[in-house]
Amino acid sequence: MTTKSLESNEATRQGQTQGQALMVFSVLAPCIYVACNLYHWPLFTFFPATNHLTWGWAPMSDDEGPAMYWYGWLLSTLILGVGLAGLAGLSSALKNPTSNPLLSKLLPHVLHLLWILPLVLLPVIVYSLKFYWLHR
Amino acid sequence: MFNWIHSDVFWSILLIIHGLLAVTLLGAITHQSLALFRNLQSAPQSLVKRFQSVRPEVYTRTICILWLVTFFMGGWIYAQYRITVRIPLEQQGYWWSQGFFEIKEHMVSIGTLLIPGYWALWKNLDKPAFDLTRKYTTALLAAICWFSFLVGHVLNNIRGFGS
Repeated sequence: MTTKSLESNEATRQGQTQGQALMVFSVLAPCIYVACNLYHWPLFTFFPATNHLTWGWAPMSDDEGPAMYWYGWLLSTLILGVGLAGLAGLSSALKNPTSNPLLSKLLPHVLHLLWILPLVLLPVIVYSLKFYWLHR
Repeated sequence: MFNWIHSDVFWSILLIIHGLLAVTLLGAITHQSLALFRNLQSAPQSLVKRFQSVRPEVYTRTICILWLVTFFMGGWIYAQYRITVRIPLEQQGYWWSQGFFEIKEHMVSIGTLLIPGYWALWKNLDKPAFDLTRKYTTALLAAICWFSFLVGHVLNNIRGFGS
């Protein structure tokens, strides 16, 4: 095998690994995001009236005005998601799924979680917002 | 900056740009997802069939870029929305409207987190095992985009910046 074809094979293999890590990220990250929302895990709280940031979760106050957690949830999700997907991308099984017959058979089915999980998470999100639906 | 442009005008301009980007994204992602559900057996004759008769893969990069730019624009405006729009909405008792905005916020975030996987799926066009996942993930992103656009549009009708 020539050096060129070896390089080409390596590039293909790295391309597959990168793609699979991205898919793993997209399967895990929506779940992490909803967990961050439900369990109050923003990395920081932002107070838009004063442009003030506080680490972690902080309640709204009369001095600071309304609190925003969305930016903090997103950053928490990104850090956890990238970390977990990176670990998965490093695992030898995902680097070369064709070497594992069970994994290569399961992978296309597991990837359906990409669109199924957000649909499953939607009722959870709607329920978590019950304050708005029941407010009189 | 606010010495030569009024704050409400500035935020309204950003909101309009955000809306225009969303319309462009809506067109691209609707085109791509309808093309995925086309019937390849019949030749395009009707307007809908012609709309579907495009190569869906050519939209992928544009959709990823438009989604991320629109998302970051929305994230920029969101802080101002929290102060100048949401508080009056709550005072006027628009709780369901606010609830729908919260769903939009969460679904758009989830859509953004799906973008890396969506991109990877479209980069693996040679793998037939990914065809169904690619199809339904694209359709889900299109549904999120339509829902978010409509909720944003209705909320802007109820109370836009400067109203």
